Amino acid sequence: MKKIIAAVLAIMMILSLVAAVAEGTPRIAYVPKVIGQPWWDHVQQGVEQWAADNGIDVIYKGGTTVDAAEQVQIMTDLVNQGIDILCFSPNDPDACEEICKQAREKGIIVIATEASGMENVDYDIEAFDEAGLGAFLMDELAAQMGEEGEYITMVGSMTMESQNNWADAAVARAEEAYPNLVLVDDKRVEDNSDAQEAYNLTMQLKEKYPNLKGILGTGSFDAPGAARAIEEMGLTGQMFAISVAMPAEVSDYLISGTLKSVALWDASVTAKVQLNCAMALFNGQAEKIEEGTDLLEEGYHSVHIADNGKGKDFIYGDGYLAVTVDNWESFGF
Amino acid sequence: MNTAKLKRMTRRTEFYMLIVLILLIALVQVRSGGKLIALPGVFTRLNVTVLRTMVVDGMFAMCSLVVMISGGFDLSFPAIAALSYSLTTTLCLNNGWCQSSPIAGLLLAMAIGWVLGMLNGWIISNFKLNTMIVTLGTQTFFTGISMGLLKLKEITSTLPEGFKAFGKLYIFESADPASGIRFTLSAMVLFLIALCAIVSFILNKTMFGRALYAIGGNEVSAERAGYNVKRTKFLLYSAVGALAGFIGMIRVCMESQSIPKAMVGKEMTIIPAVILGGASIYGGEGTVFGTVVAVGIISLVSNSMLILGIDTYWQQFFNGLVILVGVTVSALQAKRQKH
Repeated sequence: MKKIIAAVLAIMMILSLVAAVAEGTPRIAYVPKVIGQPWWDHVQQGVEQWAADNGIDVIYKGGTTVDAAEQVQIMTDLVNQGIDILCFSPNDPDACEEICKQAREKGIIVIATEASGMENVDYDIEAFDEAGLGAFLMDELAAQMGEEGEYITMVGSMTMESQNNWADAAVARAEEAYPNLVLVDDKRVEDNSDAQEAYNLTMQLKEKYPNLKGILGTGSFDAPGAARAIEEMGLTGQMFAISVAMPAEVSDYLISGTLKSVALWDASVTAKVQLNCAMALFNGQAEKIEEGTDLLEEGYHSVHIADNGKGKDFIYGDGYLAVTVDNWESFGF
Repeated sequence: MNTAKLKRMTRRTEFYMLIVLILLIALVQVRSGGKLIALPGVFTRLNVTVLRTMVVDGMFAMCSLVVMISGGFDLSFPAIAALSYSLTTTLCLNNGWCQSSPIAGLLLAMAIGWVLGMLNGWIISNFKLNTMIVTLGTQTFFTGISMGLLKLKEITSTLPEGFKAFGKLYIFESADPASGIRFTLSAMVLFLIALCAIVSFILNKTMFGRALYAIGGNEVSAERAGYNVKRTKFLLYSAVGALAGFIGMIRVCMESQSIPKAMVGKEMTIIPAVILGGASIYGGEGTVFGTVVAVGIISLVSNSMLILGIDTYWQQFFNGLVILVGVTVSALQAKRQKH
């Protein structure tokens, strides 16, 4: 009797295994810019939730420092392990082109985010178009500065494509709409995605440009670091800073009034959309993502398609918002 | 001053570093339009920022210095600091500790650091392994505990008030005459001064200090001369661990945030600074004064890049140059002394 039960169980196990393979559950990997930072912890939660909702495992693997070489190494390992879908957010898009090319030659579906200029991907997905966010940051900062005075732009690193594109768009917006805003000589500084460095830079900038009134930051460390310096200099209400930031990280400064607003989109939703898009391509539901396609998340029910300037399409949704002292608590992170 | 003394002085790395520092001060002073030194008042907005940067780097450099004098390398002190403060702030946050005073947190971080340092000390003194390899291993191990096992998170706005208030303490406040911008000299500078005095005293006036120089000079001779090499090394690495925990906590207070991965790679800026300050990579040599001068040079450069009009990329170039020059000088001196 025992033998029969054992045999039946064994056959069932084999059959279920065959069924699983036949159904074609893809092996998926998600590579963030870095792990162990709140922004990416939040993305990780989104990816894990997606995995639970869809009943598909996702390998979530990233470096402990913001390092292009380390990230490429991780991606190379994953591609060689044999995966079907690779979603990622590159530290240096150019550095990732070669491994993405190899991945696609192996038939792996490659979906990027924050790298609209990349060539060797199936799609790049953005929460919004870069010009839109850049203009949004500038509009917010200009209103705080009373539409006049000296300002500078700040990025995490000069190699971070999207942050530099936002900064470019913000400068373009200022030139077009705010004639009394003056970009100082240094134009752009980088803080290595470190709030302490953003603090030091703000101190130095104010030393070099005594009339500096605004810092248009991009990465999530820029505004908190700049705000600490502004507070310490006793310049709350006279000097302003903005960037994309996590609500809980800047709540002190929103409450004290040093920061009037920061910009945000929900990166965990973008990550889920990357996975949804990859699944649509993997299951053959769509050959191509078209204008108006529903990628199954809030803000992405009717996506936009744009040319990246190199003859390749990328996808974007409608996803940015202003976080202020009134609404920061509603985000829960 | 007699010629022999002058000759001896010019042989020391510290002497050249001091000249470099003075030239650099002059350069920044000129390029910034007199903002670095403004007599009759001692402090300016620029120099208090430089001093502030020196606090954590300078104290870490003391850790590195004592280890290098004993002929070892400690690559793990930033990882010890990070694990100590991340665990401390997480415990304080979860239990509601340190809302008014940071003292319990500082002691807790020191205790954690001490335990971690003891692990280094135990391995190094018992198995007589290469210190660089051991601490490279423990560095990764400690980072793994912090990020993987305990999954410690960043703590920013929710950091206990006691730490935030402590980090904002200052001993001098003034306003920039030109712009009216407020600036303060952080009270944390006192910890740097105190630590330098203590390390200097230990190195020059105690048996423990003599033991470090002796072991670094020649371990076998030191052992034969009656120094307890094993115990000295164990004490050294555990003390450095406790100190690293303390320094990490000071950094958390100064920045009002606890970021588990903020220390990654810190050893690669601190150790070159200590070498630049005259400590020998072969052990047995190094002074508190030289180390402070070297940290001063690096802090001054990193805080005046924009004012000097140097592109941020060049800072990496400069840091690389520091390593090359420091190591070359140290190696040449060791060679000359052998002959």
